[in-house]
Amino acid sequence: MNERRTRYGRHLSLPEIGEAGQDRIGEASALVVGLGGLGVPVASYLAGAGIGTLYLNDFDTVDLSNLHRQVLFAVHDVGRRKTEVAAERLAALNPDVNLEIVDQRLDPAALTELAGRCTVVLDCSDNFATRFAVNEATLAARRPLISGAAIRLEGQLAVFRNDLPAGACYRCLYHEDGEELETCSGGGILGPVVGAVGALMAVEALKLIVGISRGDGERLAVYDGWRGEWRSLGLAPDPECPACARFRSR
Amino acid sequence: MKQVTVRLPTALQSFADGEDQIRVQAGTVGDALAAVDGGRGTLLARVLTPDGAQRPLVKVFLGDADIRTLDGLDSRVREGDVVSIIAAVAGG
Repeated sequence: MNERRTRYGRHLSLPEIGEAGQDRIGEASALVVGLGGLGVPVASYLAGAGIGTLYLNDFDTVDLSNLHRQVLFAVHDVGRRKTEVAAERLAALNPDVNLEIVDQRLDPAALTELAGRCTVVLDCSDNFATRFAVNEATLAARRPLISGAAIRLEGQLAVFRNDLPAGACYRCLYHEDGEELETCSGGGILGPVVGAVGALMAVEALKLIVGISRGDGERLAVYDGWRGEWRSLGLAPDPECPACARFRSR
Repeated sequence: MKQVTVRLPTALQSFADGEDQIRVQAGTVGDALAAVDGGRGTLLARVLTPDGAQRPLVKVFLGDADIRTLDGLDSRVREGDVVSIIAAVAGG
């Protein structure tokens, strides 16, 4: 108990969290899809916060080109599986956390099953196909989805209440059959930008878990790193969204 | 006609001489986008389909509202409004 009070003391002293909120964090589980520039800060902060179980999903290995933004990894990790390295580092950060490695590409059924085991799902992936698949899996499993994305000096962050019977989902915002304006590898990314977006994804996850979110949550936060500005735009359900029609009408 | 600011994502700034925002005179959101395009068609082609709908991975907002929830490109603008073009980003 003393170690708990010491480790989580700065949470416990927040009246919005306290003992009850910290208990909720310890009982919660999260799926982190993608252990790249977003997934690394997300997993680190959720592990540090004492989340009960963290599912780490990635099938890639550490590359030297990852290190400028994926600060959980080191030069000697190059070539090793990201999930394995991350689990080692996160276990060292907080042995209270149950770390589950999922080092394979998941089909829709497996993704839905895994999402259903979790309190919240965080999409830290790097491609649209996965983003739409995670959106559908969370709708099917009725779990909240926290989505982050970044390129260059721009970031986007949204909480989709796919656990609720109504609301905007990722597919309400963007449509699947579109042509991407640019790619991450082609566009580049300033390392700390993904760190900032990832850290705020973890904030939203912890707020959801503890139950201290304010507002309706239907906002798309857009970061403009050149101007150093965050803007908040409204998300609205699309009455013609096929994903909502398929999963929310059941 | 009202003066409005159109904000562009990086991916589209090359169609606007590298600017991230441009002030134009417009009566509607569609007017504002057309003014930024300047008759070249290049910017509009990246934002809208040939029939004038928003492209699937691009969104247009008037203030903080998705124009889909307003009158689309026909949404009337007021003096000082901000029209934002938001491009979907997948990078993580």
